[in-house]
Amino acid sequence: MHWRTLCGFLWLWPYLFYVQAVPIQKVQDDTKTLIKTIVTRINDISHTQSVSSKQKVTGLDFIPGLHPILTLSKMDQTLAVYQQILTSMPSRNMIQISNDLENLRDLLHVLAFSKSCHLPWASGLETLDSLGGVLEASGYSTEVVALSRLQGSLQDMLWQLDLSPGC
Amino acid sequence: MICQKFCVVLLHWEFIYVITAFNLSYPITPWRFKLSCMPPNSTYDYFLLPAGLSKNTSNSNGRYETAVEPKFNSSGTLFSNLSKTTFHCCFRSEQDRNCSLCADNIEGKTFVSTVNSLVFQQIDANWNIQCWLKGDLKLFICYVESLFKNPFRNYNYKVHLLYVLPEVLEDSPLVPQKGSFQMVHCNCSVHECCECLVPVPTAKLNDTLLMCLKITSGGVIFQSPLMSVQPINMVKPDPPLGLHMEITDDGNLKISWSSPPLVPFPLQYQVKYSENSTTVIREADKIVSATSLLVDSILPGSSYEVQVRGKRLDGPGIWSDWSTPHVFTTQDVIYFPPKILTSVGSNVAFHCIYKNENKIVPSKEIVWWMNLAEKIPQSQYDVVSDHVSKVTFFNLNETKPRGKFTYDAVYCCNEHECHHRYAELYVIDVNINISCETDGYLTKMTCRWSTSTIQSLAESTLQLRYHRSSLYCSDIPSIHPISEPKDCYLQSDGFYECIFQPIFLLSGYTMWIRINHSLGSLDSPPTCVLPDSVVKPLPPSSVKAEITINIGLLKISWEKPVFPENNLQFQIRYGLSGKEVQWKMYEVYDAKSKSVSLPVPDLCAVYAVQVRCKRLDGLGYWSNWSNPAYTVVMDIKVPMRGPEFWRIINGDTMKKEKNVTLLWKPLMKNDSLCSVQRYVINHHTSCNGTWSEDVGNHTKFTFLWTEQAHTVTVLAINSIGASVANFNLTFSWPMSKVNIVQSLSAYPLNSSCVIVSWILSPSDYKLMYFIIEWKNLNEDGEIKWLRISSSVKKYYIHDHFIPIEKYQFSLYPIFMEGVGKPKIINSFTQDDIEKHQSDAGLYVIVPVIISSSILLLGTLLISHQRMKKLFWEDVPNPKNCSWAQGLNFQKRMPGTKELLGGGWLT
Repeated sequence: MHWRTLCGFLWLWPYLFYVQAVPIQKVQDDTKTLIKTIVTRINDISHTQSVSSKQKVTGLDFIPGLHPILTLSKMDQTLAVYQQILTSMPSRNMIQISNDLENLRDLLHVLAFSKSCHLPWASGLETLDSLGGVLEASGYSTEVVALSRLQGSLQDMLWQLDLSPGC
Repeated sequence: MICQKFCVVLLHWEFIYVITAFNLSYPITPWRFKLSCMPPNSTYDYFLLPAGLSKNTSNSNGRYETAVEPKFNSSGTLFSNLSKTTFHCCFRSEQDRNCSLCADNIEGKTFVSTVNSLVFQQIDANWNIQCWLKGDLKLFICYVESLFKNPFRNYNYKVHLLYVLPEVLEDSPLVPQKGSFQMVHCNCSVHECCECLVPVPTAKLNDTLLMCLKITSGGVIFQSPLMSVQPINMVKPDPPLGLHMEITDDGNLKISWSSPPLVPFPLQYQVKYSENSTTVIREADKIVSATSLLVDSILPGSSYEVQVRGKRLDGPGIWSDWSTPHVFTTQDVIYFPPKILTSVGSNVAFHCIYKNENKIVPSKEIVWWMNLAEKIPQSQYDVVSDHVSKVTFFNLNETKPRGKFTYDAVYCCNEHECHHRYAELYVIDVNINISCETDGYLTKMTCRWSTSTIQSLAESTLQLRYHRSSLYCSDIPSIHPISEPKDCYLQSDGFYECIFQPIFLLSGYTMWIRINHSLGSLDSPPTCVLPDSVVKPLPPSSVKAEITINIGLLKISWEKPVFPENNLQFQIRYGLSGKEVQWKMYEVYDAKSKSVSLPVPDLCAVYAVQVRCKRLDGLGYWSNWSNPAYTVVMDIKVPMRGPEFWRIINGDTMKKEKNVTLLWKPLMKNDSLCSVQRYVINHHTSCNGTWSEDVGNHTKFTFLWTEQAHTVTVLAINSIGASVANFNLTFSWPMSKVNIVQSLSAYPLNSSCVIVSWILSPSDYKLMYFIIEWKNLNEDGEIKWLRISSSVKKYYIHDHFIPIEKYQFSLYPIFMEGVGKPKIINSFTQDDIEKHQSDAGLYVIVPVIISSSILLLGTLLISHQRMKKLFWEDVPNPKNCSWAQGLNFQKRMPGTKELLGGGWLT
């Protein structure tokens, strides 16, 4: 356990080296602004707007659902999965959103550190071997559902951040 | 037939020998050894005499000898009648005179040959043998050289190498079969040097190679004992390549080379060099594993000769041949480093060893000069050793090119003389500003930089390198050891442009420019850019501009761009639309604002409006201006006032009914706000009350004035409504007789301006204003009029006046009760001109007359005197006057000639 803590600290060190001079309020503001930016990016992708929210898509259970995300740790885990999925979709929009998610996760780690929390670095889903096959067979469905759920999750996080979430 | 049988038997014996000798093959550990063959009763000395061995060498101990049966076969036929002698062939190392391997005492005399001893004395029976595996690990080479070289020999000399490459010896203890040996013919030169080449597959490099040599010399066949070798242990690489020497920046001689190609394992190197100077001669021999060697304490004016050879670093191997000797001569003055490339503000140092007239100058006596122009202060010198002097430059300034020389020449001198060689100092200003801009979609960051600020360095290349941190920038950006290059492309404006896409909005990109040159590389000061903080948003959209109805303000509305999500400030510029718009600026700091209303002086003009935005916290750039939006001219309010109007009364002035024509000037936009659809005349009389008449767009209206008093008002109507403030004019009989204007005068100032002044008498009526009316009496032109404030006593009328024409000026006082009696002056313009002209003549003519009179009087007096003189002078001429004939005037008036002069008396 101590080793994990130490490893986590060492992993955070490069962030802290740069971030130490940044007020935490700015980090919080940047976090919220970045979430809004990602939400707007998803809105700007035209084919995601015309999708009906009434129709449920099955077979994509590996994409996180719209469950309340109450802690910073959960937020990080959820974003890690989305980042993993988006990285598998090689388009410029997806790569940009994936980059944004990476920045967002970095910000969450800094926020967690400011609360003296140790946030383990989530590595996404380990059992996403079949993602390639799913993307090949139903890339459109995966992209639309992933972006739609990501948008919902982000809006939920935005709301949670105002409530000062726990570790 | 007999011969064939003999050959078969011979071969049979040969292989019996091979088989029996297999387990006792000669292991080739040294790669260079000797093969000697001799009769059993002879000493090796006898045979080695040609090689110069001493005669007291002890006889062979017979451990590894092979019995060789040399066959004298000068013509391909075995001569059996020759006396037979058994020869023993054995190997010896170069250092050992004793045999290492003989075969005759292993299985007895298995290989016996008889030869005429006389013949044997003519042939060679000693050979030097060298075997190695070439550096490419593909070819095993054995080199056979006869020790006894007789150029006059005329017999055949042939060498064959028999070899077999079985599996690893331990795995296959059985001897190879007869047919498993392969034979290669060795290439021999005229000097009896033969080269035998055995191809070795890569997979067999670690296997044991069995071989023996079969040498035919003078018709005698000698066969060596069996040799065994592992090729991988006999690798002899090619000599090292690219031998090079240079003086390092710290004053050592660096000998460097490159390993030969295709060597699949590391090598060690042996370097031998000699130094030859006027004072010292030294030689050295060093073994290194690197491909370079540093030699210290080098001396100026010395020559260094160097050779290198290589050998496998790990495991056995053979030294390669020596490389070709390479000679390097140092100059009389050695600078180290000889050239320095550095950036502005840095500190650098040069060292120098100076040899003058075969004597090294003591470092204490060395002085330094810059560009042969200025002596460098001694405070910058350091004595490093007896012969090495050092000069340090602090806080360097940029090198200014001198013609084609882009460096400063640093000279190491001896008091009053400097060697012509110098060190070169290049100081470059590497302050390259990198500016970045993130696009309005937050997906692309474009960075630009220019090289115009730095001096161009020939054959240098520039490269942008960057390091991305996870979040934010550090306060003091530094060059990170791990960096990536970024492709940048030269633009037409001379800037390089590099594009990052996609981007990490909140990651710090630390960037710098690396200047690569053969002298080294320089880095510009690093700069860290956060893409989020250099956003240039898209301009606001849906920009609209309008003049608000009834309120009369310029209202501008817009939509903020989608990105960034940060709060934005806005800047608005607006101005009257035209070719060159005079912009006025207005700033909005409320991020939620979407519109603003601004007062403008002209509500009926077309305004152009543009909006741009920027982050409210000041980070980033202003967006471009939005596309201009224009206001549309439309009615904003009811007309400010009705038109000013006057009347023309036609008909007999004594009649009670008169036709009155109202005249007015169309309302300007500023008054009509912004248009007039029609005019309406309101009438009011005491009898008929009030009524209105719509006259449309006309500016003239005639009605009949019949009553004692008739008041009219002209209203202007636009789409909003009727003008509120309007002028009234009352036509009243009683008031038309009220005269308050005592006098009226008009003076022309020039053809475009006339000044009119008047004097009023006191009145009980309330004077509202005056109407001044003028017309050219010589023409049937229209009447012109002006409304003048009641407080004014004089007025400048600007019009086109013709001075020689006659004009009529009328001044009407307008009272609340009606129009008063006008003061009219006619033709005043011509009269005044004449009057003014007569007045002016009076003042001129009187003095002229007086002065003329005085002049005339004076003239008369002078004339009178003159006439008297003429009269009296003319009388005495007798030719002209009869009564004077006979008189002697000279006698009577002596000296008259002088007084009267003149020719007619002489």
